[in-house]
Amino acid sequence: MEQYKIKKMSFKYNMNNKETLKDIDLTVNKGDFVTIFGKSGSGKSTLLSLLKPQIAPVGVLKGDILFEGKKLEDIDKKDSVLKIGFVFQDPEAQCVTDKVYHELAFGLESLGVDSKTIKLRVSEVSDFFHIDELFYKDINKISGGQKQLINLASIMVMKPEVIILDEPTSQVSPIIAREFLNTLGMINREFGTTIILSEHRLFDVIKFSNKLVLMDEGRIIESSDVDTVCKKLYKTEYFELLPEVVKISLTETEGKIVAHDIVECKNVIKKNKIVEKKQIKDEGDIVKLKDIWFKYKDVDVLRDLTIDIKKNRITSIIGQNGSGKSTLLLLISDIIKNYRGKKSKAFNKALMLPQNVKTLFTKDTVKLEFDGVSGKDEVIKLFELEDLFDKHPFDLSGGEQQKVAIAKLLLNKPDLLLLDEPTKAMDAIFKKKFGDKLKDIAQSGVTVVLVTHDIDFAASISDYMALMFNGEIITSNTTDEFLNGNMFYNTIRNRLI
Amino acid sequence: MQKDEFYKMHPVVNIAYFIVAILLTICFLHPVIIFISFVFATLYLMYNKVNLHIVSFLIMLICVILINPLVNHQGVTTLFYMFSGNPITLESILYGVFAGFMIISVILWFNCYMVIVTSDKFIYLFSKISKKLSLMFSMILRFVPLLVGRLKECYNYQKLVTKNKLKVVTNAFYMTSSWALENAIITSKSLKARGYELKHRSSFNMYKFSTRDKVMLLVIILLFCVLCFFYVNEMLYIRYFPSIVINTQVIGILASVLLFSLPFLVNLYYFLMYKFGGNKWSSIR
Repeated sequence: MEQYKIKKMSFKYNMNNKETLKDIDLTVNKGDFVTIFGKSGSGKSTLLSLLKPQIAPVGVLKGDILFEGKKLEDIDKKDSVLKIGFVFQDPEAQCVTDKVYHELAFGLESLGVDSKTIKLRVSEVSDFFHIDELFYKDINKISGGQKQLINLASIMVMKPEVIILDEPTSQVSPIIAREFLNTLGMINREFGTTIILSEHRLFDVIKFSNKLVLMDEGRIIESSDVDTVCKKLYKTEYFELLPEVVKISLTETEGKIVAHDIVECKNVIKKNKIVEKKQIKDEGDIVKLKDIWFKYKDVDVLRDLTIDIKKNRITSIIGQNGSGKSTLLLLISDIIKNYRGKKSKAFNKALMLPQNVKTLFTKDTVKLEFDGVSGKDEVIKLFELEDLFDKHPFDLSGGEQQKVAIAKLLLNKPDLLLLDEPTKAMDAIFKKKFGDKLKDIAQSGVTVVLVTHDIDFAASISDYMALMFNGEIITSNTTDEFLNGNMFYNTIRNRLI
Repeated sequence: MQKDEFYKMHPVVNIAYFIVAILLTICFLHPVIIFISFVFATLYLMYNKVNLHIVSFLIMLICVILINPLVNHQGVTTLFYMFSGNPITLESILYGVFAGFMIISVILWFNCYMVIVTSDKFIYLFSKISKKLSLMFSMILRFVPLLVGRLKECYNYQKLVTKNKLKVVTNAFYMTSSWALENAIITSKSLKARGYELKHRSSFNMYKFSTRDKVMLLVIILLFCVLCFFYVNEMLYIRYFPSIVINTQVIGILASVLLFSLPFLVNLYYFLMYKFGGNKWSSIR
């Protein structure tokens, strides 16, 4: 049975001249797991929010959106609250109340359900999500990933027929993101709840999805089952958006076979290829840390840490959440001081890109951010920022915000650039371009140190890599040497060969 | 906090108790009552392992004790005259001492209140008055720490890129406010998406008004009535000015001991029940 049927729909925001969505035709059946992907700014979010009447943006809508055979605007308000659940991108802002259990109960409170029934539903759902430990906690005291799980749970409490999720994992770390998406798969399989999801992390969802939708510039480019879409994208500009296993298997078999996981991919891959090693020129160290200890609130965050950062090279530091990676960046940039150990530095100016780049924007438009600074033309050209000039920095996509923020930092002429999770919320095509930009920056004589969860990205751009565990650098080496032999901390490509 | 039995009681019982305890401490001004109230408030805070801030209490106490005789010259027993010619009287000194202890006892009871009546209990009680307002209160409790955290974050990062101290502060404020607006839009969408605009909202709570809550409430009301009776009939009475007159009744004292030690007794009762209540199963650990 059809859950949603979208017929020749187009949509234009009141402020814009161009149509944001054009000729959208899409059918979603009951129990489908639909994954929408595409570059940032391709209209995914607009499409998704149009599917929920309460949050539909204001503008001119042509064509029809049918929900269970009825026009969306004709549906009873209570029904559309109950049946259509929506999870937003920002885990923080969509939490409303101060306690976890209150957050879970919120939807049912609005519907006027009595306390006894709410208690039953809330406990049921907490058990399913394994969040009973969080139940009585303050929302402010749990992590971003947990918040997003709570947000999903607070929707599930209402027993929705459809859950719509707008890039729910873009703000959380990959391991928690995978857990989240697995839970989503489980909901789909076990309750037959229809899932409509937009996501960059395709690898974690292709095993659940029975429909992939590619969007670009407000149009649906492809919409079919996983294999068909992937095969069609072989040798197109969108190929980069596909997950690594799919890319490898398609390339190996020249577009014939789509592997969904590592096992399938291993079967199609041809035997051992010799990868040539990169030659890296050593220009000395810019920062030397030896036996560093750092304490925060009486807890050792960095312990016995030793690392040398090579000049004019890109170094990536990977590791789990809470292993002290961000603290290490703060220490390198001299914001915090170690209480034990030796630190020697040879840089003039170190600048750090915070994890939350919004904290760097102070003006109303991108153009004003760059006003009156010398040498801006060069940087603006390097990062292709002219198109963004009239927008408010908060209106940019996550990737664009990163670009503007780094450009802003570069204008201060640092010779050491520290980046904290720069690829968060970037689509694959953008990520690749961004990596090339970082390489250019390093070429021009700026040392780059980045902290990331994204091993594939780190491996593709860095000269050196280091693994951090519990406040300690476990190993630090050239990228090739580093990846040689790691089991978990390795790229998918290396795991296959 | 988990182990306190009084905490686990229904919020109505909690709040009723504190209203009665604080009210009686203020009204009586009777040395014995104040002493009992003071002792049990302190003990109860210690039982819940709350920091007592002894130094600041001492300073406050000394201030009240010193200031009262300086400004209050009533009373018949003049001890000596100040240089300005005003008398210092025994009555006003004693009044100062007891009033000081009374104020501190009240503050201690308020501390107990903060420990026992947590924000979620308060929100529950408030939701009986207005559901929307209590929801709003809950949202504020969520939003304020978030806002403060963001302000700190912005401030820290602005310090990295801007040298000018004033600019750091103004930038941080500017950014936090624009972020808060941005945040509010998403929050309001999330509210709408989950049916905030629908009529007939209910308010979820996990409190059950059980028999022991009824009994407890009854006991509190009963003790309150007894003590009120003593108060009205001046059987448990003190007059400071012009000369000290004091009436004390043993039954009244007993009633007040019972009242002020009530949270303790509850804990003691359940401790004994837990220890010796016929638990036949001994745990392996």
